[in-house]
Order: sequence, then structure tokens, then C-alpha cells
Amino acid sequence: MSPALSKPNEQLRKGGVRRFLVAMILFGTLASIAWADTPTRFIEANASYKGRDFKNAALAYEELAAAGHTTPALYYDLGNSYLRLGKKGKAIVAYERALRAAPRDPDVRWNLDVVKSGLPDRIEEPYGDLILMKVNEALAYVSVNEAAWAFTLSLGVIALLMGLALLAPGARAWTRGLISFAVLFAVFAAGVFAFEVWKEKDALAVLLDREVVVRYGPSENESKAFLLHEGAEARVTDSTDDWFFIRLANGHSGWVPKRACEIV
Amino acid sequence: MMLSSAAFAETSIEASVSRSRLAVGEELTLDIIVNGASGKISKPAFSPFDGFNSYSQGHSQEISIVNGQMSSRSIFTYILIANSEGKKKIGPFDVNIGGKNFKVPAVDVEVMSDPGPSGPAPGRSPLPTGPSSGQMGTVYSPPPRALPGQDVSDQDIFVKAWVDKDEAFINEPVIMTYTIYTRLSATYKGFEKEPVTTGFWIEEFPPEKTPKRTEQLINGSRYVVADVRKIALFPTEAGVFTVDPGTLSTIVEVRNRDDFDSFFSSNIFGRRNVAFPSSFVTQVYSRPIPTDKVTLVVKALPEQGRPASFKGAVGEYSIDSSVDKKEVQAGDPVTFRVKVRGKGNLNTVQTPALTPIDGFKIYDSSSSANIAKDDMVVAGEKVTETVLVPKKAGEFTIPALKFSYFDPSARAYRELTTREHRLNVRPGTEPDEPSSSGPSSGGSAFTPEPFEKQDVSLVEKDIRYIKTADIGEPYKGFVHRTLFYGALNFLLFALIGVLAWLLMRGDTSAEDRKISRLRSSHRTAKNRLRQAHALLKKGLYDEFCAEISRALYGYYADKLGLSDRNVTADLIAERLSEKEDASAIMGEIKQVFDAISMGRFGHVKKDAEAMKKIYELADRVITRFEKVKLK
Repeated sequence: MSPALSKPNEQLRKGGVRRFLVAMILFGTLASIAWADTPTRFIEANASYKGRDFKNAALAYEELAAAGHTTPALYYDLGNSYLRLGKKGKAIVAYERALRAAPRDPDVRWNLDVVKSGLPDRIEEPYGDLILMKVNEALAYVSVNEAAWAFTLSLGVIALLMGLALLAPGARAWTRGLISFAVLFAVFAAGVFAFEVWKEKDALAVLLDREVVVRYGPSENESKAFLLHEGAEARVTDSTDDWFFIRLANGHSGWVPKRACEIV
Repeated sequence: MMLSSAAFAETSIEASVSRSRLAVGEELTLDIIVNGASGKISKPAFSPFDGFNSYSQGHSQEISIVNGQMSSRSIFTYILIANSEGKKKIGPFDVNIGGKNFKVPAVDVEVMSDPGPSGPAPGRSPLPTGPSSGQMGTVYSPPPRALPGQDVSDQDIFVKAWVDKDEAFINEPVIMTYTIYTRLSATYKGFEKEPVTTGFWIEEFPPEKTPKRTEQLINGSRYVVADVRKIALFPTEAGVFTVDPGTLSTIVEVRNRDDFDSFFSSNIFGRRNVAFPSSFVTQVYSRPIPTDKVTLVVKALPEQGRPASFKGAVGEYSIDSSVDKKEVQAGDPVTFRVKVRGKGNLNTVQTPALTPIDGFKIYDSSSSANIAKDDMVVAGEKVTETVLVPKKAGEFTIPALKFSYFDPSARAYRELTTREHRLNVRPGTEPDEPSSSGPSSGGSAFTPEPFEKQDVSLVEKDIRYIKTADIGEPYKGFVHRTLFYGALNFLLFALIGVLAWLLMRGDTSAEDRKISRLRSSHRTAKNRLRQAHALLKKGLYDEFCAEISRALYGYYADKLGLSDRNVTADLIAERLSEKEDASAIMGEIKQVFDAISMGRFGHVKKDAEAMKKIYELADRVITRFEKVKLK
């Protein structure tokens, strides 16, 4: 073979090998992504649920959650399983966790509504400022993390526009306008973000026991304040070793034993 | 009323009992009445009453003044409970009035053993009907299960939580009753700790409006007995279960019980109380009362004889089915009702479901349960309604449905069948679904049909199905609490700060440039003049002119903040301040400008002398201009 010919052949072979390697790596990555998407335990759990074996379905979903697979779909399915088992409290905990990750999911909202409408306690927010209530309602459609990223993004956009203004002084006129918009949006995003953070500053607790006595102090010897039932939600504002101090949406507050509730 | 009396002058004493014949466990009231006493009355003395337990009920005193005559009457009251049968003597009594002793003879009573037909046999449903509280003397024996297990004579107040059976099948109701026994004046205040009933479905019986109170003799002490709460427990799994009945909460009134003498102070206008005497020394405090745990054995339902249609119903039931019309047009709905009625846990009863019938569209059923809890039995009915819409004409039969349940008292399964229903479906106004449509209908393939729309409304509200696709990102907690987020925001803020500062500096650079030009104007001009001088020496006159021009124009441009080519003598004149004597310097400036123009563009002989002159002129003009003030 003449040297002139061998060179192109070598190159071709080398190129071919390289291309093959690249293809393998790509396939491997894609495959692992695809398999990571739906773990087999999840499929098993779904099958258990379909066969009305809710106990095993719940166990399987819990396993996945413990392993870090904390997707909204998982928590939603877990909530369904607990509800079919009659454990309203644990179902509400699961649904709230799903809602926190996916606040606009209509199925999660529906199911949570169905459970809550069947609870014995009526805890209503007192009539406050109408605007504040409307704002609160609207903001329920945005998660804390989304608000956080929106704020950071707006900061990034401002920085980008400023950099642009520096590098292209000729375009300074309209970049200035854009920067003003961006700053306004950043202020708005900051407001939304701050509101969301303030709402979530206290942990949300759900009562798991059928009946829970809420007391004036953190001990069994303290007098009773009022009675709550499974599924009631409240914010935890203080705690001792074994007790939580909770505040309800209607303003009432008191101490409950930690083992009677679960934090969302 | 039997009485015995002793009369001494105006003073008379008598002892009287409320009944002279009674049964073991019943009680009578003994009154020792002193009339017209003069002097202090001490309490009656007597030996313990044989065959009775006795309690003092206090001492009352009445004084009346009639026509100037004062008369007094003192009554000492005791409650005696018979504890053994036979003919008994109550008394005699010694009463000391004003230092004199009076003796009152005994009273005879007869105590029988048999409570008579008025008492119920133990084990049957307790509580004879009749006026409730205050029914002292009725013998009410609670069923043996309700009696305390051990000796409780040292306990003033206790609760017995008891169940009506020790063994039950799954879903067979077990009634748990809470019975309070108390020697003290007490008020029931609910539960401090609710019962723990894992493994059971609970149905609470509503509390009675006037809870029945009766009295019972236990270990020689008299207790007031009442049932305060009843719960029906339906077991959900087989096994041995322990129910913790919880802790009751009560408020008790404790009096000083040491001595009956404390009731006999002579200065009181005592009062007669029905159940518990009042005293000046009472303490009221809250008292939680624990209960002993109750064990139940739950048996699984037998496998033998279990029908295929059995779905867990336990109790006694009847079933009935009905349709709301027998003749219907195709497309019109028919409601099929199944009613299961009887005793048991109807909430968990599953009514039999309709299997799909050919020719019908079957919609989801709705169920409603109606539970009554009368007479300590959980009963009621459950109705399931299913809507069927026939699709085509013809004769159809809704099949019979099977429903089975387990009867725990007979320990057998029973299977019931509903009857069939025949439906006659007439053809509807809408054409049937085409089976073999040919082109015979005039060639048009599609004829729009009138269609009545119905609201999509919920039949029953339930949760939606699970998500089988694992959608969404795994949630990893609040991002704003992570270090990464905080650092990122901090960096962005810093970046924005730096960029802002840079932008602002850029704006003023134009200003800076002007100032820096002004400052360096003389130096720059001087440098240029020097270079021009060098060129002059070399004899490069063209280059010299150019350099001089640059120096001069550049100098004025820097001074005035203009660009070189905009500089004119007139402009310079404008910018001189009023104080300055413009003429001299302006003349020279004009002169030098002209000379340069000539030198550059004119055809003048360039010789050393002329050039030197220009140089000197330029130098002078610049130097003198330094002293000039500008507006």
C-alpha cells in the first residue's frame, strides 16, 4: 500500500472508533437517565395500588421517598394510598409535600380538597383584609423555590443588561430603559419572595392521632385548652423536647405532644 | 310509720322509721324527733344497729312561736341499710336534754332476703324504667361484669369499664360501658384520656339525657352508681386485643368524714339533704380516674360455609331491590335501588354491585347509609342507587343480586337474593346505533341528530387516581435556605454594584477628559513648539508649519474644550471674559493664524527669517494666553 493511501484509511478508522465511542457514551447517558426516571419500585407500587393492596403500595412509596426520590407524583400517590387505608393525617402530610413541590397541580389540589372537606374540625381564617386574603390565595400558586429563583434570575438579568450597557455604549439609551424594567421586576419578585418566605418560616404540622388534646402548657398535667382531630393543620412556633406549640389558622394556639403529629 | 315515744312534761321524744319491712340492700330513714325541749340537746346515744349499716343525715331544728308560745322541734335523721335478714330492733336510744336523760324504746323492723319481683336478674339488660335520680331503696344490681373485680372498700370513687362479651367475631359489635361508682359528691367531666381502640371501628352511643343514677352496696359501703358512656366496638381484625379505656375526668367534693359528731353541733340550723350531707368543711378538686385495661378475643369468621358473595357484613340483615319504572324509552334513565337493612356496622357493609348488562350503560352508583343507635344497638339501612340507561329496545332483565352476611349469634352465614326486575324498553326517538347502514337512506351519510346535553355533574366526590408517570423534579427542600443560593445572590449583588459603579464612572469621563485636556494644554503646546523648533533648525519648513499649526490650534482647542478644526479667532474672542483687554492679544492671535495659513497654503517664500518670526509669535501668543482669563 502506498503511504499516500494508508494515511486516509488510518484517519477513517480512527474517526470511526471515536464516533463509536461517542455514540456509546451518549446512549449510556440517555439510558441511565431514562431508567433513573421510573424506578422499578415505583412501577411495583403502582401495581399494588391498582390491585387495591394499599398497604404495600404505601410501603413501597415510602421506601422510594426515603431513598431520596421525592417527586410530587410520588407524594401524591403516597397520599392516595394512605387515604385508601383510612389514614387521613398521613395522607394530608403526603399531599402537602406534593403541593409544596408542585403548587399548581390540579390533581393534588383536588385530592387535598376532598380529604380536608371530610375532616371534623372547622378551622377558618378570621375575616381579615380582603386584599391580603386575595394575595395569599394567588401566591399559593407559586412555590417558595420558584419565587426564590425568579428573584435570582431578575438579578442576573439586571447584571447582564448592565454589562451590555458598558460594553456597547452606543446602545445605552434603550439598555437604560430595560434596566429600569428589570429593576422594577426584581423589586416585585423580591416582594413575592419575601412573602413566600415569611409564610413558610414556621413548619407546618398535621395531627395524626384521631383525637388530640391541646393544652395550655407542655405537659400532661397542664389544663386542656381545646380538642383537635386527625388531619388538623397548624404552624409550629415553639417546641420543647416532647411538645410542639402550634398556632391554628383561626388564631387559637396551644401545646400538643410531638408524637401526635408529623411535620410536612 | 312505726314510732315509739317518751314524754316528759312538755318534752316528748319519738323515734320513727320510714318503713318497717324491707329487703337486704334496701334502706330506711330513721328520725329521732324531740319536741318542746328546754335546754341543750346532745346527740342520741345508741349501740350499733345490728343488721344495718348506718349513716347520719344531720340534725334539723324548728322553732315556732304561736300566740306567744314558743315551741321547738329537733330532728336527728339517720339512713340505715339492711345487710342481713331477720327481725331487727332499731334502738333503744338515750337522749340527754338539759342534763336529764331520756330513753326512747327501740323500733321493730323486719328484713327479708328476697328483693321481690321488682329487681332484675343479674346479667339481663339493667335499669328498670322509672324516675331516675332519687330512687333510693330500689334494688338495682348491675350485671356481674359491671361490678368491680377486687376489693375497693378503700376507694371513694372508681370506674369500671366493662364489655358485654369477652369474645366476638370480626365486625360483631361489642358494647363497652363506663360505670362510675362513687361515695363522694362528684361531677363527670368527660375524658382526660380517650380510649385507645386500635383495631376497632367505633360507634358512639349518644349520651342519655338524664343518666340513670342508682345506689349499690359494695363491701359494706354505699355507692352511687351511674353509666356515663357507652361505645360500640366493631373489631376489624382477628386476634387478641387490649383496649385501654382511657382516663375519666371528674370533680369531687370531699368532706371531713372522720366523725359523725361533726354534724351534731347544737348551733346549726341544719338542713336535710337527700344524698350527701353538706358540711362546712368541703374541698372541691378535680380528680382523674384511670380504668383497667379490657381484653377482647376476636375470632376470625369461619372459612367453612362462606358463600362466594360474602364481603364482610356481620349482623342480621334483609335486602330489597327496586326499579323506579318498568317501562321506559331507550335513552331514558332508570334508577335501580338496593336497600340493605338490619343490625350491624352498616357503614362497612358493601351492597352488591351490578355487573354490566348488555344493552345498558351503567353509571356509577351512589350510596347513603342511615344509622340509628337506639337501645344500645347499632342498626339502620344502606341504600345504593345505580342509574341505567338502555341503549336499545327490547325486553331486559336486571338480574337477581346475592348478598351474604355472617350471623354471629347463629354462627352461620346466610345468603340472601334480591329478585329480578323485568324492563320493557320501547324504541326511543333517536335512531338506534347503525348495525348495517347501507346507502338506502337517501345518500346523506351524516344526519345531525338532536341531542340533549346534560351537565357533567359529579355523582360522588372522591379522590382522583394515582399518577403512574413519575413526573416532576425531586424536591430537595427550601432553596433559599441553602448556602449555594445565598452565595449566588451575594455574588450577583456584588456584580451589579461593580457594574453600576463602572457605568457611572463612564458618564463623567467626558467631563474628566475636558478637564484633563485643559490642564495639559500648555504642556502639550510647549512640547509641540519644541518639536517645531527642531524642525525649524533642520530647515524643514513645511513640517515646521504643520507642527506650529497643530500646536496652536490644539492649544486653543484644549483651552476651549473644542475639537481642533473648530477653532477660529472669532470663537476665541467670544470666549474671552469682559475684563480682558481683548484687542492686543486678539490682534496677535489673528496675526499668527494668518501667518500660518499663508505659510501652509500660500505660495510665500519660506525663509528662515519668516519662519523664525512665526515661531516667536506663536510662542508669545501661547505664553501670554496663559494669563488670559476665560469666561
